[in-house]
Amino acid sequence: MAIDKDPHDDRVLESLVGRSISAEDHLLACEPCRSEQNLLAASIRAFSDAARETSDHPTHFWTRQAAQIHSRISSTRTSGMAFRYRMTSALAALAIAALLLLLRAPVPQPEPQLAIGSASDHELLLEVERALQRDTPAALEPVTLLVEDISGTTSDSAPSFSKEQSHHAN
Amino acid sequence: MENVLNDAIRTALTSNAVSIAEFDEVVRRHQKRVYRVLFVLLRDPDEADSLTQECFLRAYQNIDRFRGECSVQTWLLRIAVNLAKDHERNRKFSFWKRFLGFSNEEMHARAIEFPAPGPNPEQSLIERAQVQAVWDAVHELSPQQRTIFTLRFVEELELSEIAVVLGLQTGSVKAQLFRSVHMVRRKLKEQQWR
Repeated sequence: MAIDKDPHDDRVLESLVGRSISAEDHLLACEPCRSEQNLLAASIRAFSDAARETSDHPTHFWTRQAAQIHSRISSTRTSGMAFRYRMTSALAALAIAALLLLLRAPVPQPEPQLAIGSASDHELLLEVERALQRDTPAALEPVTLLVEDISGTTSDSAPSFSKEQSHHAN
Repeated sequence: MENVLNDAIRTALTSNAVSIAEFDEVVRRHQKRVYRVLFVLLRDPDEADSLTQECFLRAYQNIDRFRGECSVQTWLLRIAVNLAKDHERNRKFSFWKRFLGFSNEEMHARAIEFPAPGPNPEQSLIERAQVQAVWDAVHELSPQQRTIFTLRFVEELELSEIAVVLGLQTGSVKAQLFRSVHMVRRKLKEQQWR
């Protein structure tokens, strides 16, 4: 850790990282730093050269690699075009099917209107007459019965029921 | 001449109307550099080869995203660096898979054979050990620091170019490079003391 706190260290590193006038001035004046910087720079250069040499290959390697890239791109392009062709065909088929379905669908016929005749008038008159003869309107009859049940006049409700029956008999 | 060709490729890429033949030219011009960066980052020649192919395939598929704001090289390096990052992530995941017994794949850390730098055997041995030490030290850096170190010292890119490749500020690149050189230097010193 003593290395980290050496004030000369920063100058050596600065000179390697980028152009720094102050670092260069320091290196010119400080012999240990200069040799340190040279050593480190040489190590990094050796690493760089080794990386370049190790990653280099004969021409056939690059030719093969380029050919593989070419064939992968071509196959992607072909499959892309085939996919587009298939999609277009499928969409066209779908559109035709939809059109055929629309053409074949039964045309909705207008509903025949009910003939209003004299017979229905007569029935309506009878219905009105029946309604007038009732004590309670037909729509309120269930409520009336319910009220009678709740008030506990089950026995008293008999006359009402019989009365109603007599109405119906009439 | 070189610049004229670069401009022509750049114009073709920007117009998004690139034929495969034109793209072959892009591959031919940049494949070595892309491969080298991936090789140094991954330390695996087969993976580097595979990802180089993947890099150009992705570039071709995403040509419409290339706006010509940076050079073709910078654009390709950005794709390559992202691929390496994804690969590292997957490798870590597969390590855990192996560790937990879900996979029988062997860990493939390859020993790189460095060329002998000089004719003197003793000197060669020392220099090879020195290179190996830097190589190991670089691999102990974080992935981003390793990328910055590689782009700066192996590819000799300017700090501003590295910043574009990684989508960082130049100041941030400089700070990280400073730290990575510091760590490499410390490792080298430790090596010397052994």
